[in-house]
Amino acid sequence: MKMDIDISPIRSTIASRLSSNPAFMAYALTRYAEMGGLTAEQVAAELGTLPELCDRLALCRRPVTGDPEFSKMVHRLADYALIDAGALANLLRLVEVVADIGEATDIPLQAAARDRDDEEPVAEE
Amino acid sequence: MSSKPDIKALGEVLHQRVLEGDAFAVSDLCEQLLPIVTAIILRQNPKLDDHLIHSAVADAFLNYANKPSSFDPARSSLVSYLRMSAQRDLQNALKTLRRQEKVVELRLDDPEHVVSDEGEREIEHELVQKESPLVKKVFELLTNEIDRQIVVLMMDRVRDAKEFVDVLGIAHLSQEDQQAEVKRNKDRIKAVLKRKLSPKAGK
Repeated sequence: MKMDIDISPIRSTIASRLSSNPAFMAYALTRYAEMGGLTAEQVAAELGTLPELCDRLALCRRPVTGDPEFSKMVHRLADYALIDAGALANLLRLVEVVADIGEATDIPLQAAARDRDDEEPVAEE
Repeated sequence: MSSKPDIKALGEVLHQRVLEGDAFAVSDLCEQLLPIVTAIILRQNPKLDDHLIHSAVADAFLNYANKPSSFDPARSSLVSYLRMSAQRDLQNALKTLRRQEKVVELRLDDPEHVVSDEGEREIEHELVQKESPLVKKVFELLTNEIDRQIVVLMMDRVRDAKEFVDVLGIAHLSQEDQQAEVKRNKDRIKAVLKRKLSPKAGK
């Protein structure tokens, strides 16, 4: 019997059900999508990767900026999802800032995140 | 004697990593065990809608990820545990649907479709040999063979720089130059993917 199992839809379901858990990247990706009024596919396109790779990333633990391992983890996650480490670091910082403020989703934070000129560099590994 | 992969041992390693809070453990768990558990449940329930099955399997993995201590490696393999959990979720979903009269005749305990332990191992073996559909999809975007090999190393989270150095054929360079060249190639590949996946691409 020949089998060709595509787990993408199931992984996507798991990722979306993890989006309320701040321990996972699913949380950060979903909050970022909400801020910009983006779909999951649009977030993936903005990060320059496949939606399936974004779902894979969503199932990873979310690093927090205060962690001394933050930069190292961002690089590992970025390679895993084939995305730019700087863009991922900015996304994580932005989501944290908004979560800290606890409101302010009306602020045009998406524009700030996209602004490459203001992009904070992520330290090399 | 065939060298079948030891899925039980793989499950134990993944379980330990989930317990330890390894950043990539849940993703790796899904990558490696989702195809196997899904294939078993699909084979066991050939008359059921894929959506029901996907939802039950997703629930089983989520429940495990949220409470990994509920799995006892001494009692079963992780694949069997997840398979049984998904099957239970499926039964519950069917009960609900029956109550809503959306399903009338479907049975889960049809002996014709029960997957034996040996059948389970065969499915495990078949799927472990297969190339990931996700890797195939990435390969559609990258035609260069060296780029493809680098991408596989990145997606597999290979930390050993030597593997990248070997693929790139830059062992003759200084260590510093090797690191710079590996980084340059990783960044270049990411930029290629971003360009190809941009909404503006192809317009």
